Amino acid sequence: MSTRALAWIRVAWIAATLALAALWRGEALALLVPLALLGPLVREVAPPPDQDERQRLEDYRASHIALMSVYALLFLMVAKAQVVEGSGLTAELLVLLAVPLIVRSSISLGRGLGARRAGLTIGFVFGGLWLGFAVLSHGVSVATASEFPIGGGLLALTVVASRWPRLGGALLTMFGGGLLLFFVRPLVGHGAWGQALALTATLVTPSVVTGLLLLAAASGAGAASDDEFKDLRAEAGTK
Amino acid sequence: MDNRVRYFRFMRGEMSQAGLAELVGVSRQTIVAIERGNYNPSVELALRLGRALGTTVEELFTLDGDTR
Repeated sequence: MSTRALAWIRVAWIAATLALAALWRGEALALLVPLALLGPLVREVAPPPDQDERQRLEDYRASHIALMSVYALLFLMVAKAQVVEGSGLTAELLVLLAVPLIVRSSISLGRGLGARRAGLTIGFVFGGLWLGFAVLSHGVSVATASEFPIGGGLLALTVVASRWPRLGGALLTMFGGGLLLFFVRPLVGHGAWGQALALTATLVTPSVVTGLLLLAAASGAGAASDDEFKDLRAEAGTK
Repeated sequence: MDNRVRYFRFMRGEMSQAGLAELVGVSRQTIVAIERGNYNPSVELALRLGRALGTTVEELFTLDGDTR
């Protein structure tokens, strides 16, 4: 999509929002907020053909700086909630902090390190965090023992997956599904949406993502172990 | 952009991706991405690849459809 077409879409969006605000209610102006996402989204799906590589790089950089700005604001909100108001970290804030971090780290690790190492890193980090969280919260107690299977399970399955990626990957994916069924669903049933989102972001998603990454790595491992120069050797032999 | 990195690895005694990665100072995944055409290397990395594989950048990389 060309830059000009994108500009026309923006103009049409703004005009429609202003008309809605004038005819209905002022709060409709909130529809202007998603407009900020339009450019980056369109650039991901269909890069503008009239932009050169430097301009595209600058666009990516601008989106990255925007993410950092959102993080700075989130940090201020968390600091305000914790220090000034003493209300503690709400589940909604935790989700806002965790989700972009998980998404960013998963994509960066997956594309940078490859599926296997990325999967193992996510599994070990989140398993370790959950285990550490259980021990630090309750010390050596019954509560720790009851929470141990969550982080311990994630860690143990990641260890299994490091040796047998197909089996471990399948088990981790099922583990994530089980957590969703037994921990998150009851929370949703009780209307505790914040806690449900937090658990999904910090426990279910890492388990499933780790499992899927390791399964993807396992399916690619067969091709990688083949003789990669077989065709070239045959070609050289015929000459 | 097309590339012949795998071909030149083969010509250099069937050099592994990991071996080439170490020679030019990048990860093996980056070599995989370059060979698959998922990543276009910087001029500096292309020059280092050419040097490591004993060839030129023009031999390693060609524009799509460029038969020469």
